[in-house]
Parts: sequence; C-alpha cells; structure tokens
Amino acid sequence: MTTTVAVLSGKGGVGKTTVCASLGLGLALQGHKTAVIDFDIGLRNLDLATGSHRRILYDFINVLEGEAALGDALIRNRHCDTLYLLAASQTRDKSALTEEGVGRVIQQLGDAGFEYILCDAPPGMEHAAKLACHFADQAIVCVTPDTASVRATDRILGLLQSHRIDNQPDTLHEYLLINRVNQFHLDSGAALTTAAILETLAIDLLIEVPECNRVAAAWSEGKPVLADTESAAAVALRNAVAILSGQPIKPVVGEVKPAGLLGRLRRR
Amino acid sequence: MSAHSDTSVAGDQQPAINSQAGAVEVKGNMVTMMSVLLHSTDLQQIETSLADRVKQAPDFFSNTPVIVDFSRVEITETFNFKALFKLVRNQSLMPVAVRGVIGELSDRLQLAGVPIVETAASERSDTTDRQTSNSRVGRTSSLVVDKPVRSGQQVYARSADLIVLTQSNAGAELVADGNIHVYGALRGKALCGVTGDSDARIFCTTLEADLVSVAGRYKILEEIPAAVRNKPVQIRLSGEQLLIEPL
Ligand SMILES: Nc1ncnc2c1ncn2[C@@H]1O[C@H](COP(=O)(O)OP(=O)(O)OP(=O)(O)O)[C@@H](O)[C@H]1O
Ligand SMILES: [Mg+2]
Repeated sequence: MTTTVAVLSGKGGVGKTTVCASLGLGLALQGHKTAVIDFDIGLRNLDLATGSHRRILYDFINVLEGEAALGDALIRNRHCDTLYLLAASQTRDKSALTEEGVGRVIQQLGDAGFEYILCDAPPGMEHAAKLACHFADQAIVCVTPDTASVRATDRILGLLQSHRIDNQPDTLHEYLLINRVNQFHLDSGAALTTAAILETLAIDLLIEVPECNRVAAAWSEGKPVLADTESAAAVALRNAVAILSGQPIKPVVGEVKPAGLLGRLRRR
Repeated sequence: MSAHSDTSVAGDQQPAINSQAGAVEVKGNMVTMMSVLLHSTDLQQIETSLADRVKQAPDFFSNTPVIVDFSRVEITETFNFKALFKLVRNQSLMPVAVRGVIGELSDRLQLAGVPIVETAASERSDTTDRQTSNSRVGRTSSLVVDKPVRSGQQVYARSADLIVLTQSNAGAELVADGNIHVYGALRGKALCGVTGDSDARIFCTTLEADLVSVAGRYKILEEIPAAVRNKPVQIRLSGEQLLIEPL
C-alpha cells in the first residue's frame, strides 16, 4: 500500500520544501520506505534540504525521458537509509513532465515497495503542481498566517478542485499546514489566528508549525529540521508525521490543539 | 465540464494536462461585465460624473473592463468617440465594447474596429415590460454547491437559483439568473437576476461581500451600510432601488 502526498502552496517560500524534507525523514525514521520527489523543475531545492545535492547523478527528468533507470536516479539519504530522493533537473525544461510519465514513476515506486511518496511542488497550481497532485491521495497545503498567503491558498484550493472535477474522482484529501506561526506576531495582532484562517479556508488542519530559528541551520547542514532535538518546529513536524502515519501524537507544549480535528485526520 | 448541463462551476480552467486538443478551444462564456450607461453626450459632464463614481471605490474600478452603453442617448454625426474612450480610460476603466448604437453609427464604429455587443432582450424593454418578460417560466432548477466557492472561481446558475451550502470567499463570483442563497459568509461578488429578473434576491447568513447586484443594479462595499455588514440579510430591488435588509 503506497500513500502519495503532494505538498503545495499558493504563495512561494512558505515552507513546502522544509516541510517535505522533514515529513519524508520522519516517515522514513519510522521504518517506512519513503521517496521524496522534487517537482520544482529548474528551481530544485529538496536536494539541499536533504543534504543530497552533491550526489545527484540522474534526476527525475532523466527518468521520465528514459535516459536513466529509476533505481539509478533515486538517491539514498545519508542520515536515514529508508529515505530516497528523486531530484529535480536544474537544467532541463519542465515540459518533460507528462501525466503518463509521472504516473509511471509513481507506479514503479509503489511496485518497488515504497510506502510513502512525497511530492514537493512548486508554488501555485501550474502544470508541475497539478501533476504533483494528480496521483496524490493527500495534499498538504502550506500557508503562513498572513492575508496574502491565505488568499493565494484559497485560490489554489479552488483550482485544485476544478482540476479534480475535470480529471479524477474526488479521492484527494486536503489538509492545511500553517507554517511560521509566531506567538509574538499573534499577540501583537500582526498575524492571522489559526481560527480565522480555518474559518476562511474551510479545510482540515494538519498542524501548526512555529517560527523557529533552527530551520535555517538545518538547511545549511542539509539535515531536515525534524532531526533537530532543540527545535520547536521539529516537535510539530514530528507530530504531523505521527498524524500522517496514524500514530498517537505528543502534545505540542504551549499550544492548544483542536483535538476534534486531529481525530479526523487518521489515515483512511 | 461537470455533470450539470445548464450550470457550470468554473475556475481558471486550463485544458486537461497533456491533452491532444488543438491550439485553441472556442468556448461559450457568460461573463458579467459592468457598463457605463450614458445619460448625456456632453463629454465634460460625463467625465465629472464618472470621476465621481470611480472616486468612491478606486480599487474596485482599477482596470475593470466596461461596455459603454449609448442606448439612452442620441448620438450626432460629430460625436467624438475617441475622446470619450480616452476619458473613460483615464478613469482606469477599460472600454472593451459599445452597446446601444444603431444604423449608420453602428456601421461606422464597426469599420473603426470597435466591438459592438447586442443589447440583451431583457434590458431593451423598459421596467414595466421587464416585469412581464420576467415570468419564472423556464427557471427549472437550482444549482447546489456544497464546497466553498473560492477566490478565482465563478459559479453560474443558468436559468436557476444558486444555493451555496457553505460560503463564498473573497475573489469568488456567484452569478445566477435566479436567486442566490448562501448559508454562511458571502464574500466576493454576488450577482442575481443577471438576465434581467428584477424579482431575484440574494439571501445570506453573513454579508461580507465586495459587491452585490440584482438585475444589474449593484452596490459596492463602500455603499453597503455598516449596520447590515456581517449580518444575515436579504437583498432585493424595490423599483430602481437596491435594498439590503436584515433577516
Ligand atoms: N518554521 C519556520 N521557521 C523559520 N523559518 C522557516 C520555517 N519554515 C521555513 N522557513 C524558511 O523559509 C524559507 C523558505 O522555505 P522553503 O524553501 O521550504 O519554502 P518553499 O515553500 O519550498 O519555497 P518555494 O516556493 O520557493 O519552493 C527558507 O529560508 C526556510 O529556512
Ligand atoms: Mg520549495
């Protein structure tokens, strides 16, 4: 049984790649064979986030174009040997991404025993992002607690809905991940509250991830922040992993969790 | 696209990924567009009154496409269309077509490459006529939308009422030939009776809209009294007046 998860956002830079790398590592650390795929062709980043950037021989496009076997393009993570990366091409054109090709790769990963496939999409709902969702069972939509990001999120949720109406049965489940929640901004009224965001977007909450200054360090080390035992963001991300994989979660200290919602998020 | 033949839910739909279709697709579209209805041919007067209108809601009018409607005025040979379009553009509106021009004038404009749109039958008649042409014959169904209508989406209920079970969000457009019901927050724009039914109404649990319209008469955010904002309301026409009443 393979679960495919697309990580999306309306606006860019809200933390998709950070989240995707961490969730991938978290699921892999639980022993699940996990692949993270970078759909951000031309602007690849997931290789940096997972510390694999100097070991890319073949990439996703090479595989799609039949220039490399999938097994040769998958890069095993240095820190965790059940985590694999399929890197984006930095040089090639994203027109090589086709529905047929992406479907084939996801099918092959399933056949190879991968339990989780995480797709790191570019922002918005263009071609590559649509394809990242096309085969997904779940979509994690990342947002930051500001009006512009919430508006853009609403927009892509609408586009996602139209895309699905046109193309596939309504089996995709969307969850919201609110990233960079900052208590200081909340107290000063500069940030939108989670309640206000959920009221506007009307979708289920996966988790709130706090603003955390260890995230930058994690990027420069090439080790997803989830592995950082000192990080507040890591605590939330580990809980998100638990929710995704149906494990009990540890309460996040100092935050009120809407228990009713979490109960509903268990994997179907 | 979906199961409804008469009604559609549209986002910015792009052709299905990787489709083998040709380079273009010609589709019928129902677009609601504002018009600038002239009551005078005096350019000075037009400019002053248009500027006044736009000043009330500069954001709302920024680069909005409009149809310039001549149906209520008599145009002479010497009328300076160029100057008129220029002054409309100066108010950051985009004249995209004209309406209500007849005979030789219409030929002249057509030759100059100005698109002309037909006056809708329901609008051609005066108010009393409209009442009769608005009999509900033909309004057969309602379109029920159980998901939020999101930014960038337009839902059009053709010959039908539109019923939104959750909410509509900023940047969304609800359009119906009949009534519009929203059982939640109404944000974005809501236009009912768009083919001219002045009996159509809008009902919502919380009014947070940027624009509401019944049969072409509309009110924008700035004109919606604070007393009815964020309240359950009904919106209807009484004569030429758009009423927003608490429920
Ligand atoms: N919880 C957090 N606390 C602090 N900084 C964060 C957090 N999450 C992400 N960041 C920072 O935000 C920046 C953007 O993150 P990331 O690259 O993951 O976003 P993205 O959505 O993938 O961007 P893009 O749209 O360009 O792909 C990075 O510099 C990262 O360090
Ligand atoms: Mg990214």
